[in-house]
Formats: sequence, C-alpha cells, structure tokens
Amino acid sequence: MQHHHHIDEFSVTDVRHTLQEMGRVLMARKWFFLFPFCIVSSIACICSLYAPRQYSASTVIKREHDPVFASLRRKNWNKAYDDVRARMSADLTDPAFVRKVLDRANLPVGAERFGDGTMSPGGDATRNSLAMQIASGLSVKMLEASESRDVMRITLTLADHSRIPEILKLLRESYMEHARVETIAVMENVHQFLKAEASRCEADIARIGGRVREMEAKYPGVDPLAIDPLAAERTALIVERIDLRRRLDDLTARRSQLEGRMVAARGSAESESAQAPRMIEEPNPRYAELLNELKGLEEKLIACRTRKGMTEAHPEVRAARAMMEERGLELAQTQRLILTPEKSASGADSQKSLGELERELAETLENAALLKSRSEAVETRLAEVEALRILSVEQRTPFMELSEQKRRLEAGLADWRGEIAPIENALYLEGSGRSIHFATVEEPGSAMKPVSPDALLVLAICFGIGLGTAVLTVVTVELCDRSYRTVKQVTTSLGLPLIESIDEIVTPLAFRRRLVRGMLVTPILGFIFVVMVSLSGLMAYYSLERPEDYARMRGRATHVSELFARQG
Amino acid sequence: MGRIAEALRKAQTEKAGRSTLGIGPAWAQAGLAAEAGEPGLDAHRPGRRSMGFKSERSAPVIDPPDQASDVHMPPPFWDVHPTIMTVRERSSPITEQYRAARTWLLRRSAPSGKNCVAVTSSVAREGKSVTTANLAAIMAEVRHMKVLAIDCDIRQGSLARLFRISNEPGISEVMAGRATLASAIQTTPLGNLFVLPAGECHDINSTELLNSTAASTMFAQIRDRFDYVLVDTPPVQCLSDVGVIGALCTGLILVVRMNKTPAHLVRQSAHWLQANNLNILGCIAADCSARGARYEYDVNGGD
Repeated sequence: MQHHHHIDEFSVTDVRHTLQEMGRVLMARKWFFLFPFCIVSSIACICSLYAPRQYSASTVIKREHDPVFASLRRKNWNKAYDDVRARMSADLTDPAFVRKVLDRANLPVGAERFGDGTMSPGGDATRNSLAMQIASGLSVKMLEASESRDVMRITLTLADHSRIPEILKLLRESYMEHARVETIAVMENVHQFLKAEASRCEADIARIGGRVREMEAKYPGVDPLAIDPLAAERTALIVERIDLRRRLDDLTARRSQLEGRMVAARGSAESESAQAPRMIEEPNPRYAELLNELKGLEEKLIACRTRKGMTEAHPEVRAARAMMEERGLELAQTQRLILTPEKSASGADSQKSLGELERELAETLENAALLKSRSEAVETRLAEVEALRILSVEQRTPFMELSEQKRRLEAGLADWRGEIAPIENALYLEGSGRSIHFATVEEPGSAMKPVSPDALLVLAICFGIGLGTAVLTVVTVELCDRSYRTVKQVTTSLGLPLIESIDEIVTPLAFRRRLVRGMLVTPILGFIFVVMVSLSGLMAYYSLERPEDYARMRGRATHVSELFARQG
Repeated sequence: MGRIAEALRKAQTEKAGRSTLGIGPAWAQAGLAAEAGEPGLDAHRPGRRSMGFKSERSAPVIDPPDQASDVHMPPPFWDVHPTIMTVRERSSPITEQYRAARTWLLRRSAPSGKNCVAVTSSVAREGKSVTTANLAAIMAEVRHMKVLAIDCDIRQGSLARLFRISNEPGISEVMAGRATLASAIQTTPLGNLFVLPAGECHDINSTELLNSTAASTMFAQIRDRFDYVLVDTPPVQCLSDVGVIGALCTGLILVVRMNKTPAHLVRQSAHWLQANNLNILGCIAADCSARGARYEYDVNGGD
C-alpha cells in the first residue's frame, strides 16, 4: 500500500509539473507559437481556396400510371412497369445511358472534333470521362414509392457547376423517354415471346391431336371417355341374336305344330272318332317378357353410353349391365315353349287342308333357314367386334398418355393466350399515350454553392495544420535550446556551488523598449496576425458557404486594387 | 530541525572563536556589520588622486583607511551605467542579491584577507563586467575594505564604460610601460572602490604580458595594497587570458547567463578551468528572469 501511495504521489506531481512546464514553455515561446500558427493557418486557408470543389443540384420527378389505364389494367400485367420501376436508379446512373444523353446533346462542347463535326478519339475519351464523372456523381433518392406513383429526387454532383442544371435537365428528359421506350420494349418482347410459345403449343396440339384421331379411328372405343361405337354395335348384335333365337324357336314350335296338325289331319282322315283333348306346345309368356326386358335394358345402356356419355364405371351403366346379366341367366333357365291342353279347334284350323299345312310348313322351314344364316352372320360379326374391342383396350394406355399430353398443351396454350390479351391491351394503351405520366415536380436550382468540401472541416484542417506547425516549432525550438533553465541544472551540471542567482537587470532603456514592444509592437503584430488569420479564414469559409458573397468580395478587392494601380 | 540548530550553533561557535583568536580580516567583521545596514561610503567624486605609490614601477602605497565615521553619510550621486544597480538602486532586490553574493564570498575569503577573484564566463555577453562592477561596488560598502576592480579584458574592456570613467590609462598601458599603476588606478565616489580600466592600448599581446614577471609583481602589489580585488576577464571560449589571470588570482567566479548560454559551452569552460588547476569558487546565475529559474522543482515534495 505504501508503494502504491508513493506511485500515486509521483504521478500527480508529475502531471502538475508537466502542465507547469507546458505553460512555462508556451509563455516563453509564445511568438514561436503564434507566428507559425498564424502564418501557416493563413497559408492553409488561402490554399484551401484552390482545393477542388464539388457542386450539386437536384430535380424531382414524379412517375404515375394513367388512372384510366390503371383501372383497366388492374393487376393483369404489371411486370414491365415493375421492372422499369426497379431499374430506375440503375438506369439513371448507367454510364451507357449518360453517354447516350451526352451524344444526343453533343456534349461536351469543347471536346476535340474532326472537321465534319464528328468526335475525334480524344474528344471521345473526353466524353467518356465526362460520362463516367456524371454517372458517379448521380444519385437517386426515392421520396415516395408505390405501385401507382413514384417520386424521386435526382441529384448530380460535379466539379464544374456551370453545366450541372443543363445536364440534369437533359438526363431527366432523356430518362422519361427512355422509361417509356424501355417499357414498351419489354412488353413487346414479352408479347413476342408469349405468341411464340402459343404457336409452339398449337403446333404440338395439332400433332398430338392427329395421332389421337388416328388411334381413335384405328381402335374404336379406345377412348374410355368417348362414345364406344363397338359397344353399341355389339349390343345391337346381341339383341338381334336373341331376337333371332326367339324367332327360330317360334319357327321350330310352328313347325312342330304344323307337323302335329299334319299328322292329326292325316289321322282324322283315318279315324273320325273323337278322342280326348290333346296337349299342345305354346310359347312361354315369361320368356317373351324377359326378352322385352333385355331389349329395354339394351336400349337404356346404349342411351347411357351414347347420349348421356356415361362410362362403364358409371353406377347406372353398371346397374344396367348387372340387370342384363341377371335377366340373361333367367332367360337361359326359362323354357321357350310350354305344354297346354288343346283348345276346341277352331273351324278354320280344323278345316285347313293337308296341302295348306304342308305349304305353311315349307314356308316355316324356309324362314327358319334364313334366320339361321342371319344368326350365323351375327355371331361372326359379334366375334369380330369382341376382338376389336380387346385390341382397343390394349391401346388405351398410350392413348390416355397422348390425351393427357394434349390436355396439358391445351392448358398451356390457354395460359399463354390469357397472358397475351392483357399485354396487347397494355401495348394498345401505350401506343395511345395513356400508360405512364412523368411530371417534373422541382426544377434543378442553382449549383453555385459547393457541397464538398465542408467549410467547417476545411477550417478545422487549416487551423489544425497551423496548430501542429506551431506546436512542432515550439517543441523544436525547446529541444534545440540547450541553455540552463534552473539553477538546479547549473549546479548539478557543473558540480560547482552557486554563489547567487541574480535577476535580470532591466535598464530604463530596456524597460522603455519593452514598454514600446508590449504596448505598440505586440498589439500591432497581434492585430495583423488576427486580421490575417480572420481574413484568410473568412475567405475560405465564404468561398465554400457563401460563394456569391465571396465573388462580390473578390470583385471589390480587384476593383480597389485596380484603382490603386491606376492612381499609382 | 535538530541538525539545523546544531549547524547554527556550530557556526556561532566558530565565529566567536575567529573573533577571539583574530582569525580572518578585520574588515570581514566590519563587512558583516555593514550588511546589517552600516554604509561605509566616502563622499568622493570619481577621478584621479594620489594613491600613495612611491614610484611608477613600485607598488602603490595605499593610504591608511579612513577612520570609521560614526555619522551616517548619504550615498553620493554617481552617474554610472544603469546596470550597476548596486550604486543606482541600493535597496533593490537585485542589490540584495549582490549583497548575498558578497556575504558568500566574504565567508569563503582567504585567511590572509588578500583576495583576488577573477570573474569570467564561457562566452561573451554573459554579464561578467556587470557582475564584476556590481560585486566591486557592493564590496566597497564594507567599511575599511578597499576594493579594486580590474578590467583585464583588454580587447573589449567595459568597466570604464560601466563606471563612466576614463578608460585611459589602464592596465594595458601599465603592462606596456606607458603608464604607472598609480596613475592608472582611478578613484570613485565610493571611497573604498578603485578601478583599473582596460586601457586603450590594443596593439599589445595581452597573454604574453600577463605571463610576464612584471604582471605577477603587479598583481602581488595590488593584492598587498587592496583588501579585495575583482578582475574582469575575457570569456573562456574566446581567449586563453583567463587561464593566466586565474593563475594570478586566488579564485574564479563563473558567470552563467540563464536561458541563454549553451550548457555544453559552460560545462566545457568549467572543465577547462579545472583542468588548468584554477580554483573555481562558484558560479553566479545571471538573468534569472524566468519564473521558476531561481527555485528548482523538487520531486521529493518541495517546490
């Protein structure tokens, strides 16, 4: 603890001693401080007048959609406008765009040109350099940004303040035109692209549609969603077959009946004696009902598959088919003919001759032969239809793939066409000048006042340089001064006893000199220094903060100097 | 405190012993008394008067000192150079500082009472002549102590200008044999103060003359006749005269001008003087105008 206390004592004392020493040195070397400070600060302030300056001006433009157009367009197709909006800053600060503007305005004026007015390589380089300067000096700030309205401030910072407003106006006007052209160009490109895509889709659809149609023609019924012509034919053939069988059965029964009657006719002729009533075969009424019911179901099935467009999986179709199978089974188990007691013979039948019966039998046999041949033809066709149907089922998977592909292409085509229509509308409105409106909210003002460097910073640097130089001078002088400062140094250095230290003897003459120096020379010098520093500092400040006042000051100074020169 | 009290007691004992045994010059006692405020000035005007030398070549015979007057005479008006503060402003702080220097010198004076002290510096314009003149004037305040100020800076002697007396004949003429010592020594309104100016004979080789036996004889005579001799010398760095003069004197005072003279030159001069076996009594720090120059900074607690 004692050690730490000792250190603290030393440090505080050292600080005090250092401060005292600094004060002593500063007082003793005040002229070594003031003179370099004032001179160097003044020189620095005057040099700052020649420091490169940056001038700036800004304009505010507004971009908004035409209200009619916006209400029509709604949100159908904003991509071109969004794209242009998103690239507003980048477009404005693009050196290529600036270069185009300079080309159009034929700037810079003083650039080197050939005799015919075209730019020489040197002039081209100058223009490129100016374009790069402008591009790097341009800044865009969005004051308001929304989908329907944008307000932005365009600021241009250049070293030459004389052409800033002009260049800024040129850039603004060029950008307005550029934005319109760019928007239309984007939309036209997209329109072309969409149309090309739609055409490609149409071609693909035509190609795949041809194949589909070909398969449909080749394999009827391959499309499960379409009407199956084979099914209708097959049903018709089945119904016809059933009908043929029924008719054949009727003919067979008729033949049997006729043959029986013929036998009876022959027997009556032999024996007229009355006998007990005979049993005769007659068509089963249930069998006819089942046939009618099956026919109705076939018709219903055909209607469902054709007119109503139902598939095989449709419940109604499936129910009809199940009913048909059930009735078919019942029909198979039902006898076509049943035995009934012979009614009292009518007078016509009983009185028919045998020859008539034989003729009627021959007709019946002929009809039965026709029906059989037809039945065979129906069976053959039915087999062909079944074979074709099996083939169509096998080709159904590739057909479905093609159909799906075609459906997708048609959906894509519909999308493309859905995109094309709004763009065409937008292009039409663009052509009629009712899309985007640009307006100048604020014209570029005067760019006389430099924005860079900052006046206070310049002054701080100038006075800082002066202060540094002054401190360096004082330190150098102090370090170079090897004289004794205290009697302690004398005794320590020489190892001799000090007899006495005598104060400075100030004679009246020296006193008067000091008085004159203190009352006259020092104030005058101080005044001169203060005026010098203030004037140079004021010039530096005014040249940056109030250029008009500075120019007026310079004008007056020039006028006064000319007057003096004239009088001199 | 104990050690300080012991030192004071020891000093008083030694002082009493010297008075009892007759050690030290009688004027030393008177000088210390004069410091207490007893002026011993004679109301004389500057000029030449007979110093009682028997011949031009022999050592001057000095009249017996005037009897101490019990009447306090006001100091005579003497229009000396303004830098001679001990004559113009006798109560100024600077005069007091010279009185303190006188006390220091008298306390360390030779037991024989014949002191010849050279005042020198390392370079010119450090205040040798002003210090010599002021010390001589303040020494002359001591009653019955005859003080001679010699200007040995033959080339640029300035004592005559400071005391505003004639610079001719001076020591150069005496050494050149063109004048007698008695005729060269000039009186001053301060009765105890005599001045031997440098003279106007600049063509002589002062170093050789000072190395001569005649110079040694002259200095011996001067020391015999005067109680305290102060010799103004050229700067050490300029001429080697100071070595010769220092050998003729009993001691040397080195004047150092504060904040002006380069320290290395002062150190070099002190080493040169010590290398020549010259007795440097001490140094006087002149021009202590800067604040804090008189009081050094002491890190051990004192300011």
